[in-house]
Amino acid sequence: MRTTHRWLDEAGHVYVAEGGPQGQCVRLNAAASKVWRALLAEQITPDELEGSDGEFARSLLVTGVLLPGPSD
Amino acid sequence: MARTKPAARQTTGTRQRSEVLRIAPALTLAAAAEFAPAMAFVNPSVGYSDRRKSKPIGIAYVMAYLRSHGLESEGFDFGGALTEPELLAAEHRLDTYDIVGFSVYNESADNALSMAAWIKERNPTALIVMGGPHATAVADHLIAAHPQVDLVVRREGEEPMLEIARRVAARRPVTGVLGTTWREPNGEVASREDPPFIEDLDTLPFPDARFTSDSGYPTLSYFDDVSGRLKPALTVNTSRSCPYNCSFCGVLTIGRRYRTRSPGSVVEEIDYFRNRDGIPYQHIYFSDANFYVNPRRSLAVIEAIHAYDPAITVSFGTRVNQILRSEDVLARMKEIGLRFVELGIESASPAMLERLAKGVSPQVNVDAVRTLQRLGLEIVVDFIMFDPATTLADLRMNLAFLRRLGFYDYVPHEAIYTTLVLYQGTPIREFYERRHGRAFAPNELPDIVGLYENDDVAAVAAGMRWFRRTWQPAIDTALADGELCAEKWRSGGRTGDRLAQLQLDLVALRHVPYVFMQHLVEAAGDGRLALEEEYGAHLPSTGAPAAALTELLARVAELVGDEHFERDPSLLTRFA
Ligand code: B12
Ligand code: SF4
Repeated sequence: MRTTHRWLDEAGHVYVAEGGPQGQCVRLNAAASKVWRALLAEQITPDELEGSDGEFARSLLVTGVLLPGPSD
Repeated sequence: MARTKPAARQTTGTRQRSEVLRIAPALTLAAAAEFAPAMAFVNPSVGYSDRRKSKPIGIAYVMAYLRSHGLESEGFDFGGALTEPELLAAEHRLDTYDIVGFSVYNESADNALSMAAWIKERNPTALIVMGGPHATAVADHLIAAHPQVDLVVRREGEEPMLEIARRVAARRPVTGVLGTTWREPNGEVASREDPPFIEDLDTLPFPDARFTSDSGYPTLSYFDDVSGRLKPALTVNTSRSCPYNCSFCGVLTIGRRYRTRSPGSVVEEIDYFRNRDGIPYQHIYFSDANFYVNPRRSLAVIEAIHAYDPAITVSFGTRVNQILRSEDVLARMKEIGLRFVELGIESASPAMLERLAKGVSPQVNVDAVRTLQRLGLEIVVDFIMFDPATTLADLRMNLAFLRRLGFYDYVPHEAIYTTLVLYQGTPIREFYERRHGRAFAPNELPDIVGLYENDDVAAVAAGMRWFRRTWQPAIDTALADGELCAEKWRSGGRTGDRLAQLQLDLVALRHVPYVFMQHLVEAAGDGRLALEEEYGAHLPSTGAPAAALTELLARVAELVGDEHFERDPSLLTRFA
């Protein structure tokens, strides 16, 4: 997976610039931050994730914050 | 209604005459009945300006109560004044009143005493009355050691003050009133027992009192993120005291009996002040020490406000364990306008929580925060980072807690600087007196710097004081400007790299004070107690791309550039 958004991984959380519905900067909670890191490191795909983690990953795809394809 | 221009005051005919006697038996009844004492109520300075400055609600209640019994008075609020107390007293002619009542906090005790001495010197017949939390705690001392103080009203002031004013008006002796402490002619301290608490708070008039203030009041407002609007706000008190007994809390000196107002009375008060001020207040800050003691009654208050005007939003302060009691109630409150909760977290260390007598485990703190976060309610954090017995392990636990729950984004950065204040009359003050084998002077607020028991913690605390002095103002300004700019760009539909960079830089800037503290704690843990000249070496690099603090500040300044915007006062309040 890849993203065109700028992001910051600091103080235990991932922050995605313009990642919110109105272009706000969003902070992912600890669990969501883990999912984000794993997706971008290509350790896992959204389909392999279950429950709320899977829902979260799919929502990132729907909103276009994450895009299919390898990160560069 | 109290007048606000002292120079234009009409005198009652008695003021400024030294023969105005408190005990004047020779007067006829008719003459006595005509005498309306000139009364002033003063909130002296606590020595620094409180960014949440609002009218002193305690004396406002007392003044409104007196007025409802036909006795007018004038209010003076010097809460954050930096001017000498004597100069303020002279400027506002406080020596021209028959009765001057002071609301005394620990922080303002010295200023209150200085003003009182100045008044007494010029007008020995003025009756000086002190009340409020600190005066209650040291009533005997004030009378024994400070001849300029005639009377202390302990605890709730309405009834005793009315009785005192009536006696002055009738030229009867003012000693012997329930709930007061005074000096006998032989110099001995005497007092009478406390009167019963005011059980039915609905019987009290609303705290409608005008104050002459040295600084004026910033218009109280609240920026509602949900509606994106800056709303005019009002402070309302819906209950008194608190049934808990945290060891550091000054609320309890006023008495531990918790009483509440009815929802109808609270709504009437909002309506009353909207009409009085011609301002459609749309956010209510509940000033209660603990608003959420009984979830159902708290919900009933908010429901009633919502029924009165659904546009009104509210906020309140409470304890962590209360939050866990009723998530459903909080969810409903959120639906009908609750925006944030001020949460008395205080610490993440079991030892500190025990010293503070919070009666909760750190896990309860975590659960309460998670509950509010799940509900999407903003949290205002009350935290005590340092107390004299704090250990490095305590600091590590506190930082880990703040980091884990996402509070490294939190502004203002108060949580990492706050030190325990040992208020008079609190059990923890006595605990430290015993532990350190010395009694603090009655009006002294002991400086924690001299009380630290662990050198490593003292070193971290010194480093944090340096950081606050040296860097915090620049960080606050950059955050205030940067947030406004990012908000302006975002809401204006601007997207792209500059906005993204600014957003991430602001996050990074928020983190800096926390990460700096983390570095100091790590260094102290390795036995490297940072010296002042080495503090700079502990400043973190944060952000993406990572940058040193000076660089980060410069980057934000460059991004914000020449953007011009009206400073939104609520944002400034949040970052100042
Ligand atoms: C809301 C609040 C604030 C708000 C608003 C205060 C306001 N507008 O008055 C803000 C955030 C601005 C604030 C600021 C501060 N506060 Co404050 N605040 C409170 C809180 C939680 C509730 C106040 C309230 O609504 N009281 C309701 C009224 C009805 O009660 P009351 O104020 O006690 O007044 C009654 C009696 O005390 C008495 N009385 C008071 N003054 C006088 C004067 C006379 C002459 C008489 C006869 C009687 C009398 O009669 C009143 C009516 O019954 C209290 C805790 C509490 N009391 O519950 C802390 C509390 C009063 N605050 C405290 C402190 C220390 C401060 C600050 C110095 C800074 C700080 N650390 O927060 C500043 C200073 C403000 C100032 N003096 O200018 C301490 C006081 C401790 C002490 N022993 O000194 C308290 C007890 C909390 C604590 N930390 O333990 N505060
Ligand atoms: S819960 Fe709050 S108001 Fe109540 S005693 Fe504790 S600190 Fe004071």
